[in-house]
Amino acid sequence: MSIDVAGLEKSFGDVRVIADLDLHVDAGKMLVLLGPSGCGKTTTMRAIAGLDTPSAGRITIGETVVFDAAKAINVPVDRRRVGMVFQSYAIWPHMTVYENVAFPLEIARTPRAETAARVAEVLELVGLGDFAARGASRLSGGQMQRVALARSLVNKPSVLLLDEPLSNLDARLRDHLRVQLREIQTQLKITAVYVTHDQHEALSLADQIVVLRAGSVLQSGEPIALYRAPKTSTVAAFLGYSNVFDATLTARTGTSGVARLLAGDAAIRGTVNAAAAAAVAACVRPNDVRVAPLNADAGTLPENAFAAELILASFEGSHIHYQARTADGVVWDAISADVLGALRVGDRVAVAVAPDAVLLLPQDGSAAEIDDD
Amino acid sequence: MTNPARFAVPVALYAVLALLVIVPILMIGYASFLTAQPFSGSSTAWTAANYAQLWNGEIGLAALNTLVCAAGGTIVAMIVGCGMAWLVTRTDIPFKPFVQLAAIMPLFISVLVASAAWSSLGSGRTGYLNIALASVGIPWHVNIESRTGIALVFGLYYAPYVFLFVQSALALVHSDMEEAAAVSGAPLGKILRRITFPLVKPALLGSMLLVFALMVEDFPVPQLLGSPVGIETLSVAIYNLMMHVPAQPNAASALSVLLMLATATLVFVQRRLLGGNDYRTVTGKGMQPRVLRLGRARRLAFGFVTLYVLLAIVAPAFALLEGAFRTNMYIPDLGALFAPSGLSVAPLVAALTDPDVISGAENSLGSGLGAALAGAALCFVLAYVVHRTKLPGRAPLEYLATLPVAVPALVLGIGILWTWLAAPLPVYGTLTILAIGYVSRFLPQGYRAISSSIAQIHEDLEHAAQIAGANRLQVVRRITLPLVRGGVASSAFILLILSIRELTASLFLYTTSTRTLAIVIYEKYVTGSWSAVASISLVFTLVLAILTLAGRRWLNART
Repeated sequence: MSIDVAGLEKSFGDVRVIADLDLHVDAGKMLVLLGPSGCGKTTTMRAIAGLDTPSAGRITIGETVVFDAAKAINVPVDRRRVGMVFQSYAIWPHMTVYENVAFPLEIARTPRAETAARVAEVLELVGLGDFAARGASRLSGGQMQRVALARSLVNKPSVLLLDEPLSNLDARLRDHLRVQLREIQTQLKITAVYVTHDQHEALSLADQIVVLRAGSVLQSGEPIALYRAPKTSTVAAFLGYSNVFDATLTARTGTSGVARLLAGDAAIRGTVNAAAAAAVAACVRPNDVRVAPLNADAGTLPENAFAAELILASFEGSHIHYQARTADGVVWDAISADVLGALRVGDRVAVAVAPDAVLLLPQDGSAAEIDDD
Repeated sequence: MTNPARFAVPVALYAVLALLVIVPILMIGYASFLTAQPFSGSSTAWTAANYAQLWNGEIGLAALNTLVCAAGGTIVAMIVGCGMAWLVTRTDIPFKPFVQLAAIMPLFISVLVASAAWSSLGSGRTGYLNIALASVGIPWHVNIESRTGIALVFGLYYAPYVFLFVQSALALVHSDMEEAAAVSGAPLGKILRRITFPLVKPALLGSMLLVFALMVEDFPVPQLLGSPVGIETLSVAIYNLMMHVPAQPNAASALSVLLMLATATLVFVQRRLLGGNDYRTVTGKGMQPRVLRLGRARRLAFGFVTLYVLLAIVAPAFALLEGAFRTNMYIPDLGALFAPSGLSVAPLVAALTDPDVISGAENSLGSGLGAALAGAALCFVLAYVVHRTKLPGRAPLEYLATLPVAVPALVLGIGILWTWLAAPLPVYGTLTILAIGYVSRFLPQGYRAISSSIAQIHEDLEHAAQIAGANRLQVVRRITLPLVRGGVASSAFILLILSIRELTASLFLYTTSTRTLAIVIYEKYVTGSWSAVASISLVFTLVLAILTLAGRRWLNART
């Protein structure tokens, strides 16, 4: 079933955490709410679930209006027929795996034989077929996460809500479960809303990503389109553009333009966003930045190349993470697949980037706040 | 979305708490400005004379006695409680489980029994301890019936409160913090002074103020050990004003108001210090603090613990055994104290088959169980409403539920008596009024046991059940109650134990047909039947000890 959220607002006292938010999720698709903590993404999800009551707005699931402040409609949480996976998993420790998963069916007075069949089926689906009799307090984090998923799916909910379900797991398990989660969601064709602050999770899971900040939508779109063309520097920073430098636009012809970095006055050529005014930010993904040794007698560097000193060379298996600082104090972030390169910290290097990899975007706030998770 | 039904539950809870706590307190305040007992049929008029007449040397001396005894007792309790808490959490003291148990066992010996036992140990030349001292030629004797004696007994039996507070505070201080100081080169003394002490300072000050307040309002100890030699504290003075003929209920009320103001101030400051969170149950997550090797001081430390056990448990137990099994009350020397010839079970049997004792036991159990069941149910509803709903007016409920800590038991007893004498319900003279008194007095302890366990349950667990389609009652029955089972059981258990031991409030609420065991012991003591007192106390204490040990599972379930 589709989900429609219109004009949603939520205040805690004087603090407005959601301001006039609109969302739409097509039936069977997965929407990811991406943003730093405190951006209102969890509050939005809890409003859809019915755990929080918004101050204004309307929420529709399928054909049913579950919340409408103007008409004083508020379907209680236990009647909304949603499934939810909590960040803390919320597995009841005094029950077995079977009892946990069977609970929604039991409340719905499902016949016993059908309950048993459905629980077995959904446990099989999440790969916990042999764990039915296990006490819930004797599960690992990954197993609890699967039980939570099974419990949220067993009653064939209209929509599935996932609140940072993978954030408490270690990296390897997280990757594995992310893939599995996407498989199950597409297989069951269930409409899902997924909350996260992790760009990798967002990009790999979503049919549609909504980037939130301070309770408002910054940008939404399909993952690849969004990744290719963020509209503002903040969105770029969320999506992994780790080089974001404030600059002033000095020349502009069509979509091509030149900007001067505020730190040090170096000029950089890039693709100008249509909405950009004079104050822009130059945004570059680290894997578009090339780092090469620089000889003392190299002479003047070509356009979009900068002399710098290597201050970090971190070997990370499939790639090397470099950081290089120019004489102006600008620190470039680069990722190189050439893991056999012989660059050492302290080397003089040239940092180069192709003009079409540089996005000159409107500034819409400090990109620094993205780092909080 | 205002729904009138939302107000029903809070209104009902306020009504119950008003009857249990607020009306009794207001009754005392009201009486303190009247010329006669309120709602008693006598005509009354407003007056301030009740307060004016308190301004005399006798009450001044009582205030001084209260202060001296409570201050002395607090010093003893702090040394014992803090010392043992540190030894248990931070050192390699031998027999740690024994030390742990020794530090809290006295909590479950009623101060009434302890005072009676110490009176027979250390009063005059005939106290068992003094006979022993004289026999071995020590020209000095203990005089427990003195301010020092009262302070000592206070200190011995209130030390466990300090221990519990400080121990949990120390357990929460991750030993990493101390190790970090050690790695930085700080010696033990400096670590204690600069790291450990500042971190547990709120718990130290908080427990100090709490035990001081408890001692200020205590009645059994000064009544048993002070009254025979004319040492009167404020609580004893209130009791005497109520009980001596002619009774002066209004003067007693005025003095009660003053005493209540003092204890309420102390409790208020204590809560501020602990940031409103005085659960002693919050503990760290099973971490193993660094253990300090005591080396040669190990024996000294264990000696300190042994001395405490001797004074707080072994000596009083010995006194009770002597009293219960010795037929001949004349004991000339140490040898006679241990001579088997004078021993017999006859006094014990006689005391225990006394119909007063049997009905007392029945009454204690009846009123205690009533208080435990009703109290735990009330506490669960209160804690649930406070922690798990958004009902209007829920926040002050918690404050009201913990208010009785600040009210002296004596004052609460008088207030409840007058409330139910005025109420058009035939509660006075039944076990019900005793149970009501116990719920009222021990509401804070019962509430905290449940409140802390509800607060520890992640709200997601209940939300997940709601998402699964369960309504609120189903969530409570299927998720919340099973998860706080331990807290509810421990609340009921604490209420039962505390109710059975209760003397002070009961003194105003019992009638000849509803004497509890504690009342029977007190009456036998007043009439001088030491053998009966010892026999009953012995069995009373054994039963409480067995109950306590059996219930340790539930007491631990809170943590």
